[in-house]
Amino acid sequence: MNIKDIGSHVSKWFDDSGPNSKVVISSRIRLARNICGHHFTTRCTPEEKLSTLAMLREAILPLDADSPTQYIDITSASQLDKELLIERHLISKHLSSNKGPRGVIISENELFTAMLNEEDHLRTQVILPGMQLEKCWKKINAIDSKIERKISFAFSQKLGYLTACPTNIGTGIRVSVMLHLPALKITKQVEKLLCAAAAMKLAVRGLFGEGTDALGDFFQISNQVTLGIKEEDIIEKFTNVLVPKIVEYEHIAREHLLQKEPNVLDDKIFRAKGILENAHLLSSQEALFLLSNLRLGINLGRINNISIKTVNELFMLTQPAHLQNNAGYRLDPSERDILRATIIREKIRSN
Amino acid sequence: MNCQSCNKNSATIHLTEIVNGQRIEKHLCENCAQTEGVAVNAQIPLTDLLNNLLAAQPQDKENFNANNISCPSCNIDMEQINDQSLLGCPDDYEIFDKSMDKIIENSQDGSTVHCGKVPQTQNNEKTHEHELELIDMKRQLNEAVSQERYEDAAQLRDKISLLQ
Repeated sequence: MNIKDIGSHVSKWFDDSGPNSKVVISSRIRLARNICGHHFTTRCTPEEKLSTLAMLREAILPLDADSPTQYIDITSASQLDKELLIERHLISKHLSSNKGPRGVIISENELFTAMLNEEDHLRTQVILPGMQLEKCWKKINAIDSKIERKISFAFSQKLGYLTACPTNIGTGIRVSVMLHLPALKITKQVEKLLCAAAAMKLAVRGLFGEGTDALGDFFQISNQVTLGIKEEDIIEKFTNVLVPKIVEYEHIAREHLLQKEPNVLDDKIFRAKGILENAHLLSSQEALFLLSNLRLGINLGRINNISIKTVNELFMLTQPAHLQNNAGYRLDPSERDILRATIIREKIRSN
Repeated sequence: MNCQSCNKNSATIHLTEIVNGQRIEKHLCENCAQTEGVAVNAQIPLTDLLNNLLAAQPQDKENFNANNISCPSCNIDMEQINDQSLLGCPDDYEIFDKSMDKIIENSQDGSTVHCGKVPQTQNNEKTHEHELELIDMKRQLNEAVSQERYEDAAQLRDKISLLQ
């Protein structure tokens, strides 16, 4: 597996094959672990980081993680490669910008990753398309137990798994679902969702274009409390209460738009289609916004000649690092806007 | 000082026990100590003893943390932890436990105790349950002593030493 090659196709978690995929893009579980008897990475010398890195590589690389795994050294990776891995949700910004010996183990199908020497020594992740948190947990828990047979993790009976930041202590688990909620956005109900999420101690972030103010129509909802609650209970709450509720609200809002405001809805959908078919300059923010409306139109049966697969592909492959990776050279933002518009125009017209 | 139990002989055994942060003093003569089955619990692990002592003296503990004591393993102090919101090594949770307890409680919606996955190597749930049972029995022992139910206390003490 070559980094250049992985940028040419859509990630498996975004292939629309999972349950409830009209609203739930993907499910992800991440576990934070540290090796017993070592400083946390913030206080590690480069030598100590090399030793934790070697221990983890040796323990994790031979494991069966669904598909063969490979190690990518982040210390020596180019800026573009790191950006590409971030856009594919394979590494975090923190791992990319951190200093010292660090890397990532990625399974060939990209569903399992293990970041080494991030904020914690080890951050494993399993990500699956659609609503599949229980399956994510089964997979990651099995992998975690296998690693644990080879490496002792820092653990206390009282506080559970000890992490560099107290916000991850206990289970060290971060459970996330990525949701597409365009109808809640159009009907201005997203604020309500954000308030409810905050009251339930959940974090909400934008899925694409992280760090920008605009959340877009894609939301990532994750747990914030990691201590005093069982992993299974967090997952159960997401699977049986939280996500079905949000999915239901989104469907009600979509139905409402279809029945009561079909013109508002169609205007958004076909305006988006028109611009995407004809624009010659598209910023990543604008493309994100328009593709989201197009995706809604396809899911509601208003547009029939474009597939969800095509739209997902455009979401992923028109991100800045993907564009440059596939072009084979660095592009400045205005060059990217031209290339992005060209790719989208041609792809949508060819359908 | 006379023995608290028989009130006749002079007290030669002075016990100070700190259970769950509560300080209990007992002054007994040798006979009464024996009949009541009070034995010096010399098998308390050192860390437990230290934790109990520190928990019994909250004001001292505050000073301990504020006094810029640094972790012998990673050298970090509480000020640095507050600055960067990250700890230096796993030991910090124990070394700065009072300060960390507050930080953890705040960031974890009031939770302070883990109840999720336990590594298999720790021979898990058994150990965990075992410890919980011990804590509960120590609490009962404490209660029995404070209510002067010394027979119950003696029985509990025997059970505890067996479990330990």
